Amino acid sequence: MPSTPRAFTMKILVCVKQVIESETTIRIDDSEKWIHTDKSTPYRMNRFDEFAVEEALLIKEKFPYVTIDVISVGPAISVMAVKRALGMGADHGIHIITEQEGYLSPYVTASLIASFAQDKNFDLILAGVMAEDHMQGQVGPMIAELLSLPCATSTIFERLSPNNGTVYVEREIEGGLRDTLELSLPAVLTIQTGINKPRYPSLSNVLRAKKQKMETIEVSSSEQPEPKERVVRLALPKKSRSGVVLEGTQQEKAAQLLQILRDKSILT
Amino acid sequence: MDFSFTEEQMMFKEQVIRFARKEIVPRVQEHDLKGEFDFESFRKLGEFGILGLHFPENLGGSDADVVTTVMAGESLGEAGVDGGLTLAYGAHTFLCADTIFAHGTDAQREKYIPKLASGEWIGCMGLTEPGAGSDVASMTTRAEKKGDRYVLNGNKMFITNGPVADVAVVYAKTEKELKHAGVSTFIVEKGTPGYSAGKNFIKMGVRTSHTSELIFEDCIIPQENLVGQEGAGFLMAMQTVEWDRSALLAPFVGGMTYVLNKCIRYAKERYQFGRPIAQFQAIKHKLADIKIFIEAARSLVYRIAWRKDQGRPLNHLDAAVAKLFIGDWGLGPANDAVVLHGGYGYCHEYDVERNFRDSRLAPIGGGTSEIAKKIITKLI
Repeated sequence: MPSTPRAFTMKILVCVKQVIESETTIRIDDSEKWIHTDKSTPYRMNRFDEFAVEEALLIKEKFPYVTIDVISVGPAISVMAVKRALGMGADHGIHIITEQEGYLSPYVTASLIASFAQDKNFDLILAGVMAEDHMQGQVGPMIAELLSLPCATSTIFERLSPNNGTVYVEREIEGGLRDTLELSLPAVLTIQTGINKPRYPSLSNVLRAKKQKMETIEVSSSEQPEPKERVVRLALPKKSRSGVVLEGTQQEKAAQLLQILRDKSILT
Repeated sequence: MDFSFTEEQMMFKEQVIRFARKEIVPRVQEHDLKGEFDFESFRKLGEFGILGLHFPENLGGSDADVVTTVMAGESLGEAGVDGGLTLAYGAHTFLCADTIFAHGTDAQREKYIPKLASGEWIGCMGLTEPGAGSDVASMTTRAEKKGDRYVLNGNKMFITNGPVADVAVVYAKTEKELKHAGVSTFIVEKGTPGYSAGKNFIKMGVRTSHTSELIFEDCIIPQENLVGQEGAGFLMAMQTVEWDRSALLAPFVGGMTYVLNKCIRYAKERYQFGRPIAQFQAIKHKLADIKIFIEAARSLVYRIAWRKDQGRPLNHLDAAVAKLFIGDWGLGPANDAVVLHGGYGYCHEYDVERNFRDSRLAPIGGGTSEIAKKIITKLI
């Protein structure tokens, strides 16, 4: 007799972050500890997190009865990352609002997510492999540590075995190699780019998300765990080279350019 | 009146622009230069949900209102999508699919709308004929009833998507002697014996949209492919005008925003006489003129969209004003953008050149400016 897949329920939590659009020209503010932002500053969901949301959605397409919660920790603007994930097709959104703008320690973020998740029975927690603004890649592994869960980073392939309560993972390592792991559920995976092709939010989901109630948790600074590090100072890299504007007629400029290219051995 | 967009609409707009910039715009110049229909981009529009935006979810759509649908078209233009692809989308979704959706039977809707909404099938609409342009009722394509079938004979002309269409909504006379009241609407599928499309016309602009003749030679159509009642075709064709004057015009308006942004950037970067040309009054005036056109044009198309959302009948005066304004008044700003770019503006590499060529269609397609003026003077 062919075996029929048993009814399977699963809860996935995806951690997302709203970051400043990477193509924006940034200016360090007067405190020298953060960058200047205003109403016109463009933000977007961390690209790495888009892959994590997509992977959760692909799991949901494969297994019925999967629900996807999306969580973000940060100031008011962070809600947009959660809304985008809902627009992509996630089921529930949670926004942990922190009071302060500016640098948020990954330990604080991970602690707040872990304390939210600890009694919710998530089977799988996904996060982008890092955030494109600070590139620390700490939140996922820290959540795993705080909740005493197994963790795989840089996941480039995953296959769930719900009946066995495990997930098979391939990690991307240097030189195009992969190593393979099997983790028992619940587990935390940080998702590498290229694992899938993140979808764009659909209008249907954006409109559906409008009707969904977003869970908002306000956390004052005093309720937050003490960060383990602090920002000393932000600095723009020193200009190592300055541009040269060539002067003269078109022919003279062409001759100068040719000389420069020869001097730098770009042309021989 | 509330002129603001909702947060969801703004979020969707941002997504459309982001999607189009990444997935479609990098392919525009190459396809425009070659005059090729971009099947991949068209399919991506379907995947993203643009092609079926206003259809119900159970037919593969997103249940969008008209304002949001118009906004999607404007956003495609704003992102830099060419007028050819947006025209192909407009003809497909609003002139073909929407006619089936609005007037067809449940069976016709279920058969065609999901495939058209996803982009699996491409649609076109055949109304204009070699001898019947603005004077639609003088069409000579005949649909003769023989038992439970119709036999179509005649030619249609300048049909957007003609050479690439899988399904055509075709208007033909079932009563030869009658004028408007003799026109009926049929669905004709590619591959039907007696139905063929001519060669793609080489056009001045909107070059990625393919345009051809449709030829019907004893083309036998089953009774079930009649849309609505016999003789109701002219009204159906006129009902597409609402879409034509809003969703089909919106990409032209968005395209001008794209061009304006290009102009602003160029004017700041281009130095002459020791300063950026943006500091010269003649250049400032051109930028202001383009912006004035955009804002007035937006008000006109969104007003028509908003009225449709409210369930109000089309105001033909407003529709004619919108069509005429965007068509005729848009040519000045499109020209200004080329002039502002100097010699570069005349080169294909700079998108203002393409926009200039694409814009020339607006006063012609879907009703000429001369006819719009005729309507305006009749109604004032």
